[in-house]
Amino acid sequence: MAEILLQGSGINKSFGARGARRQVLFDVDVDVRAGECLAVIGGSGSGKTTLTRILLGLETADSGVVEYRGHNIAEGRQGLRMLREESGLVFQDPFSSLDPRWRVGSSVAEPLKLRRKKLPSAAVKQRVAEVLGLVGLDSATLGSRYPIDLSGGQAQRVAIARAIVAKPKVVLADEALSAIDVAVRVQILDAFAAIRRADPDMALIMVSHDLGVVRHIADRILVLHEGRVEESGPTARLLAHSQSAYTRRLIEAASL
Amino acid sequence: MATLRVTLRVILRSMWRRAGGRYSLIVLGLWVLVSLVSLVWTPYSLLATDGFHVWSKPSAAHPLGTDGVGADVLSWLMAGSRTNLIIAALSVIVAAAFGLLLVAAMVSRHGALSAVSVVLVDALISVPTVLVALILCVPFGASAAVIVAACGFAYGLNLARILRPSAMLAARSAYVQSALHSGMPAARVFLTHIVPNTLPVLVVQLSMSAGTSILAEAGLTYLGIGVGAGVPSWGHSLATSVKFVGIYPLTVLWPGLVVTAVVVALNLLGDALRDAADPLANPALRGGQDER
Repeated sequence: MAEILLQGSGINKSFGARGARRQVLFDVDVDVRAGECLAVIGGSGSGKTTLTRILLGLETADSGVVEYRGHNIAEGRQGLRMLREESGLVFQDPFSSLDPRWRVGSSVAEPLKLRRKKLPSAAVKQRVAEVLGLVGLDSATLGSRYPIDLSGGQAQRVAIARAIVAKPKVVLADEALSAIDVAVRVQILDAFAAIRRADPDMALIMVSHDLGVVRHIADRILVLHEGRVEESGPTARLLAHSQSAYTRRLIEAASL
Repeated sequence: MATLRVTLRVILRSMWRRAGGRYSLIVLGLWVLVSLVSLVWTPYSLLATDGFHVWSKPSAAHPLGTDGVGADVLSWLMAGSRTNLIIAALSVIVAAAFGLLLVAAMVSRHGALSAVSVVLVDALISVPTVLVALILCVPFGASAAVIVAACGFAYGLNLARILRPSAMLAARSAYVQSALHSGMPAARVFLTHIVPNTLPVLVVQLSMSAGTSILAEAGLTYLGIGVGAGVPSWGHSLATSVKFVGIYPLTVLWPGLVVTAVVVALNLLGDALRDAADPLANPALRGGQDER
């Protein structure tokens, strides 16, 4: 069995002012192992984005514990620093995840420069070209462009390259395919497949409301419904023998 | 360095293509040139007066005429240009530093700091620049430094209020979240991601502040709380001649024309620079090489 990288236990989270608080997560348990792709699936408001943001230290849980490689990631702990140094993020809107006034090459290089401060600039350039190549983009052509000159698919692939440039151990892709044209989704899925092949130990957490787009890439699926874990298991088993009516509805909606 | 030169050339060329940009570059270029020349040469010494030729009309000896004590108007305007250049430049620097500091506090992730700074800016913005200058005059006396401090304070508050929406938009963006997640210190995120994304508003606001500081200098000097007596400035030239506008209107016309020409140029500079220096607005700038 591969090492457990991220583990969340008994996670609860509420939003809103006192008196009008709404709980969005109820005692959620989740783990992510090295090298696996975990898809977190659920409808709008199911809590999937909140859960993954808590797992990556972008939000704090009201109660419960999140551990990264055995270290608690609560604010100020060593675990959070380790997690930030060893994780990458891909957001839903590719254009809002790239600074519009930074060239593509600079945006992709940023996490690498921050995490490997002593890396010579030639090595940074080489790594940027390597990761852009990995997601099917040419660094020589696109490296000096601004995001405004990219298509949605190109911008999302740049965002993926940026997330993996510093060789993270875990990557979170939050609805990374939702804002992408259906015709371009295949390119993005291919890019995710390529980065997993390039680093087989890297864990990938894909958040999506659509089972159809993650079934080809996810090893395991966790279904969230109204803040609770509805069902989880290996992709093939869950798709073929789902125990939950809600999951079956999601499967039907995805026309699988 | 070579890339920076190319970028500067592209920006200047783009500005030159617009009528407003061309006008502002010419007028501001002349302003800087005259200020530099006045350091080493003016047609007459500022102390030179000629009691036999007061209120004289423009002539070969005095191209813009003389004032009530027979001093050469052109020499005083030339010398005044450097005072106004320094006041405008320093006011903009103080306003930018103070304003950006306030913006940093207003978009801070610390809720209390953000809330307090928003209320503070809203409260202080109601204090008129003249009042600030008057208050500063009490302990420090009338001087160019008081004008700079009063203008920098007032324009910094304005800047902060106007920049806040675009700064908030950038601060809440996914690219800022990614940069923070990657371990970039908050101050560096502010300077490299947030400030550049407010640049279109920042540039226009600062150029207008420079123009307004010239008007403020004239107004404050007229009120007696501007530059000290004997210090050449356009405001000083206006203040000393405006009382005699009925006797010799030209003596008011020259400094008035210079102030108007420069303030218009500064206002147009902001628009031209915004369109020329922003890679999102200027496609010519997006054709260059990676420079970061």
